[in-house]
Amino acid sequence: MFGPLLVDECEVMIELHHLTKTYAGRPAVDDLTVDIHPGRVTGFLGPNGAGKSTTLRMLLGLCHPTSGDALINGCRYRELVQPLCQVGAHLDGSVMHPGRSARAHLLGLARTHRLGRGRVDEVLERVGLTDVAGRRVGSFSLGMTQRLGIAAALIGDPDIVVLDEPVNGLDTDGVRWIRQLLRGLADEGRTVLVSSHLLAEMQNTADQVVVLGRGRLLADCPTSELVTESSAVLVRSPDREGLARLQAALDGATITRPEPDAILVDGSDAGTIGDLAALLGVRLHLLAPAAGSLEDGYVHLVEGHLDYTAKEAMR
Amino acid sequence: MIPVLHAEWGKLCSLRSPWICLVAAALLVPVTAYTLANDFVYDIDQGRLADGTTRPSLDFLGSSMQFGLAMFIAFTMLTITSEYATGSIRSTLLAEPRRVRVLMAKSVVVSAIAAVTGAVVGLASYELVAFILGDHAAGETSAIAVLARSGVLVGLASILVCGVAALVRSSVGTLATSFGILVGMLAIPEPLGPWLPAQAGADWLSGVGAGRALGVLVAWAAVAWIAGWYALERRDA
Repeated sequence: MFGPLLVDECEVMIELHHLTKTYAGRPAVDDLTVDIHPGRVTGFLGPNGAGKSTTLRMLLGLCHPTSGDALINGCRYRELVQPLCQVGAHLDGSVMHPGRSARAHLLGLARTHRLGRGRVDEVLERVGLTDVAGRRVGSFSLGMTQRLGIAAALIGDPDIVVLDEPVNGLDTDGVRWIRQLLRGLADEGRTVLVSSHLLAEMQNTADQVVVLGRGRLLADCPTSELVTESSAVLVRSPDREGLARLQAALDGATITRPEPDAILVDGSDAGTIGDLAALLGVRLHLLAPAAGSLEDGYVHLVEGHLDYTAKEAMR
Repeated sequence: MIPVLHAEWGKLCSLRSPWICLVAAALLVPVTAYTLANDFVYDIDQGRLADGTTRPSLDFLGSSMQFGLAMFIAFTMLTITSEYATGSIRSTLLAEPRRVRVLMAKSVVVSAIAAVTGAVVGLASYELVAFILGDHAAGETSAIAVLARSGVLVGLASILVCGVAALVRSSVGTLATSFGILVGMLAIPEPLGPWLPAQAGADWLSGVGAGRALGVLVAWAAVAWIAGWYALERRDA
């Protein structure tokens, strides 16, 4: 068993092509076109009801697109030969029979692909469930169930791994474990697509983010791009009157005053602000980019989209 | 196809509930047959029936088999309905996205087990009834015929239930629908009755118009299975 060692970044492993799904005339996923590349962790983000799970279910052949295509290695899921050896998936929600043991659940999957007990034991070992493999899934904690779901995703040693909300219900150790696992899988050259609503977690894990809002694509960019887009400049000075003058001089920028000794400037840059402060004779103690977060960038993006759709609706 | 069969067999073996249903079926049929045969003999002993009254042992088997079908239905449907109830159908369809294979594998595994169990239980119940009736038994049916008739009835009923389960998806709904089709429809009289699976099942067991009865059973099982397959292919999981 081995993954690809050389990664062609231009290679497309998952291809969504004008993917659309409507329920009773309402689009859940609306004309979504995205390519997912190998060797990185791609975060799939969006508010509840944005269409993330529906998209993943279409990708995995569990539900039928109204129009468009979701392709894996150029094929629809249903056309894949030995699908678990090409894509491993962990779905949100229950996918296991609580009356079956962890080992029996994995063996049920393994046997469809002529994989033996040895492979089952390997993945149990990898997710740390060897000691409880004979216990019924119904007796598992949420964290153990998540680990078993990930074991199931890895059973065929696939080049593509799709995980829907894998960190749900995990404790700190579990979250760190998932983060390292995803990083490791991507570094081995695999394609990793992870949906999550935990943005701080995605900022740490994802190299690329695909953001969905109301079924439409809002962004498909490197994580850093979305994070820095939101960055403002933090200016701190003991000279409060000077800060007010600086604030007045910076027209065109959005300025907030989080505390009496500091202003947060959005829409300008550190160079301009520094020059202006020197010109106005304002003493500065700090002039630094405010730590941007994926959450800020994301909220910005989603709000912008909501405004847009609201305006569109008013017309 | 072999790996999927192997997987479905393993999945069935790793659960407890289907086997409880199967054991229940294996007990319910002979117990019912015993009770019915015993009542008959008792009525003769008490003089409520004429002393020389006889009845074919097969009569008692027919009623008890149809009663026991409820448990065979439960055994069969669990392989499908419990997957919908627990969400594990999604794991199954990820591992084998060609849905026709999934339904075929499930149907083959459970119908084969149900048919073999049905055949053995049928013969055992028949022998029990014959023993109870003693001299009051009219005529004799060969063991092979009893085995074959019981096995085929339960096997075909099981295939029908697989179709209904894939169509209905819920356990209670499947049990009610299947029991209605396989047993409840006995209430419908001629000329329609013999064309329905309940009466056809009774006819097939008793050997009255067996050819037509078998045809009717096969046709209903096929229609139900194809309807279930169609629904499984079309629906979102």
